[in-house]
Amino acid sequence: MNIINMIENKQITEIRKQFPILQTNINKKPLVYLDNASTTQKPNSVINKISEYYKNYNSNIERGFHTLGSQSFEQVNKTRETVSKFINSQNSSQIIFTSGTTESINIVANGFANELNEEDIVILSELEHHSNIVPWINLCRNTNSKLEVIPILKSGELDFKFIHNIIKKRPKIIALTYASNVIGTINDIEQIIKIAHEYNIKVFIDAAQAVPHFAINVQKLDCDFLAFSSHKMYGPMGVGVLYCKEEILQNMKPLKFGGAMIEDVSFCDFKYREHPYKFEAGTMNISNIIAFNEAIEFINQIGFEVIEKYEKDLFEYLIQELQNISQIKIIGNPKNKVPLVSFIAKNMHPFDIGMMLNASGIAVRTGNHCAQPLMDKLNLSGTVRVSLSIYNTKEEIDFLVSTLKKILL
Amino acid sequence: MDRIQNDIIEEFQIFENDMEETLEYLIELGNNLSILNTEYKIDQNKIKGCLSNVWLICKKEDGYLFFEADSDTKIIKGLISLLIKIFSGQTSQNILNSNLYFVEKIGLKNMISSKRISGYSNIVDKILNLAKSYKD
Repeated sequence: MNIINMIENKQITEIRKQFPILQTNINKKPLVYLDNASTTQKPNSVINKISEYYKNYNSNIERGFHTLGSQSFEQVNKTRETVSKFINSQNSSQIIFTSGTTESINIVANGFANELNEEDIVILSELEHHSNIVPWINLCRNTNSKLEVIPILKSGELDFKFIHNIIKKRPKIIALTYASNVIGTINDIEQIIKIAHEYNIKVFIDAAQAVPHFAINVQKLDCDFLAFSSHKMYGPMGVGVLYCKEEILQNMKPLKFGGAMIEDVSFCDFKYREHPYKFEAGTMNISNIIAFNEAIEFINQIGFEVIEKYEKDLFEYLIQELQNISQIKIIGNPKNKVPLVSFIAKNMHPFDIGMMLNASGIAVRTGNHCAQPLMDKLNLSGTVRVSLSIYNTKEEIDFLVSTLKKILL
Repeated sequence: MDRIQNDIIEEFQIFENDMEETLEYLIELGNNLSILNTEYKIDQNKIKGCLSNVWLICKKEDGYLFFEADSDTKIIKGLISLLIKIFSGQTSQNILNSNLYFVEKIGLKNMISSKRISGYSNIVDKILNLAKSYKD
């Protein structure tokens, strides 16, 4: 617990001050926000940047030649550079801005539409969120290709025996979550990518749940595609990222067609611009892309070394405390987890627990967490999920635990 | 039916919008709801679009409709018990002409705003559809 005490006193109080929403009351009680895997709260720097944009340089980019337009363009490029450095991609042109992880996945799945036929296989895992399931089912339907699913073991970890076997069937792509939004499992992505590449199989990584918690290095991972959302990492809503390997970007077809993505157009034909613009048709969410830069700066200023240590210790404390409540059963027990936990209670429906916690100002997620196939596998109709972030405190966990004890009596 | 709704609103005034006490009372009301026979807990009676399981049946006696229901969540069960209090013993026409306003007034606005999560509007729709199907 040393790190919690050490950092909490000095830094966490300062960090919390940067989030105005954390000072609000819900049902006349101070907000305890423990639904960070759904979306994190936003610091002042992000909120202020959005308003700064609209006050000072609101303009469409790359449309007219005027000062405001070039200011906005520069700022969007700045975010692209920051994201590129954040995940260590070779070039910032490999960073495509989307509306979120879901759109990013749709771009990748659509990119395979002309490459698959009835002989081909697409691989997912049982841990996937609906957003990393539905686009692939749609792709398999349209191409008559087959979908295979990596099962999970009792611990909530992927079955590597299955992976070794299925890979021999030479699937075209493996689309996997880096970290589960229900159980929290951090998959051994590096190992899976290594195995897949031995057979020339492309790997897509859904990093939405991973990216706020630990550093990601796409060159080291050697993944072919990686996607995440700004809003789950202290940034604004409606902005996502798709990273792709350079050689893939050259040939991959875009999902959206329209303005800003073309170099030349007549009523008979058009020519794409180079990437990333090829994939960014239409006016983007410029204000929020610009403010996204501040979210990454917020993470960079604290540093992943501190974030990882603090969240790990706080999470261990949460698990230890939850285990002391006899009515609670924690779902899954993987070795490596992001700081989120799902549980059920013997004597109360997750919906009732969520409502009762809300009455005390505590925000958690209840339900199937957009992962219905995983819920079916676990034979559950829903769970309560508590997910932590850098601004959560030991006191908040104590309040959660005492409230749970009271309502589960 | 407005009179019953007004009585419910008055009954809940004692909690002065304290959410914890309101929910605890709803749970108590749910616990007091008569048990729905397991033979009725079939897909046909299940309300679609709720994240929890909710079953609802309707019987017609002497021109009046009577509802019975169950749910695996205690809070929703309590809310249903209030809906039953309002709608049971009414004619189809009265139910179809009704205007529901009590939920907002007892501090449970988020039950209505988060439709998909609470399933509240699906429960009300089911009641209205049953009333329509029993209309002479």
